[in-house]
Amino acid sequence: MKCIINDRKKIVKKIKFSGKISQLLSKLGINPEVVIIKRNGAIVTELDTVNNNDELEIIKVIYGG
Amino acid sequence: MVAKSKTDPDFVSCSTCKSRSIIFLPYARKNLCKKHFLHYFEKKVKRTIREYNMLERVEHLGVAVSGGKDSLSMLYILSQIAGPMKLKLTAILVDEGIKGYREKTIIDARKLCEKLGVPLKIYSFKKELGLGMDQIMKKKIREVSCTYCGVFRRWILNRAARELKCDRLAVGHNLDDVVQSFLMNMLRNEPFRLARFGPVGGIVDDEDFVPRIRPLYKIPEKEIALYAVLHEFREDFFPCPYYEEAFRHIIRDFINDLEMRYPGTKFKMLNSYDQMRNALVSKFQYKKSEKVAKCIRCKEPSSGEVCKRCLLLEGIKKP
Repeated sequence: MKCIINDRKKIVKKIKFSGKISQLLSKLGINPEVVIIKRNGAIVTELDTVNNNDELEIIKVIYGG
Repeated sequence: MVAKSKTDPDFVSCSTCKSRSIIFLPYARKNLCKKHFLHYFEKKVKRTIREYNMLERVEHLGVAVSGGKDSLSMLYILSQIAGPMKLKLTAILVDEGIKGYREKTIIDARKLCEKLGVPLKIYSFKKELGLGMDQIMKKKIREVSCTYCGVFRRWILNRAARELKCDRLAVGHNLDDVVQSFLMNMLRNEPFRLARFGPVGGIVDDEDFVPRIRPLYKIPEKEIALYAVLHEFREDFFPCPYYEEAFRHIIRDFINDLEMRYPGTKFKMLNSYDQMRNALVSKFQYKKSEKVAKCIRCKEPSSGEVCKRCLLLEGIKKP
């Protein structure tokens, strides 16, 4: 799966994962409270699932300042 | 087991209409689709405005906009109610002079103001203070950047709102900002600051001070970000390059971690603050009979002989 982490810098990773997005976020150490998630371009919730053929974009939206 | 959407089985379904959900609200145990999220969000902001009588006897409202997600979402909702309430809106933007950051958000603010037909007044640190944040950061400064920026911005906003004859000034502080400040001020033993952070007003009741309202007082920051994305107000959410409020950063992570483990924590903190607020306000707010001091240099309301803005500015301009 292609995973794009849109933080201060854009990081693109290839990850092997199938399952609930919340489990993936937990694996990556990302709190769902601070991100919006897009699966194949559509906004989804952390309760949705993802598989190895998907593209997942994790957009950090809470920084402050 | 999470219910799948009837219209699109690849997605989790909305708790209300069974179409595909775009947000899960753990504190309410609800999934919402785009339509029901927008409705829920706008209803909550409007209810907050009514609950605290934010627009009571207000004919002209100043709206502090930075071009970020919070202020643009707030402006958009205020513009929806301005017509029926015959409320005049003026957007006020302070350009701190941060190259590569503020220019982008000014474009977004201008675009939305034009779309909504709201006049936009732009004030800059450079013009009002003689130097912008980029220049300030090149000097030897004692405080963190956010202290200078916050004090100067509040000073400019208050003066601008007063000169524009605004009855009140709407600011985009959200639920996360409020509960972070609540905890920070408790931990720093600065309860007087807590009295200022309510949904309406400030600690000072003075004709030179334009009372502030916080329509996003009860809205979690993540929901505002989603609202801004859905309306295409903002495409990216990059932080200010000078953001370095280390203590707030720790508190933010701590509260977000608690919220993840114990959903509803932020609202519980807000409810606690709301219940304490009256006692804090009666203890720390200036009484109507008391004369609020004016800074001997700039003549603006001040808690001391010289206001914080003038003290900070003096420190910066010293050779």
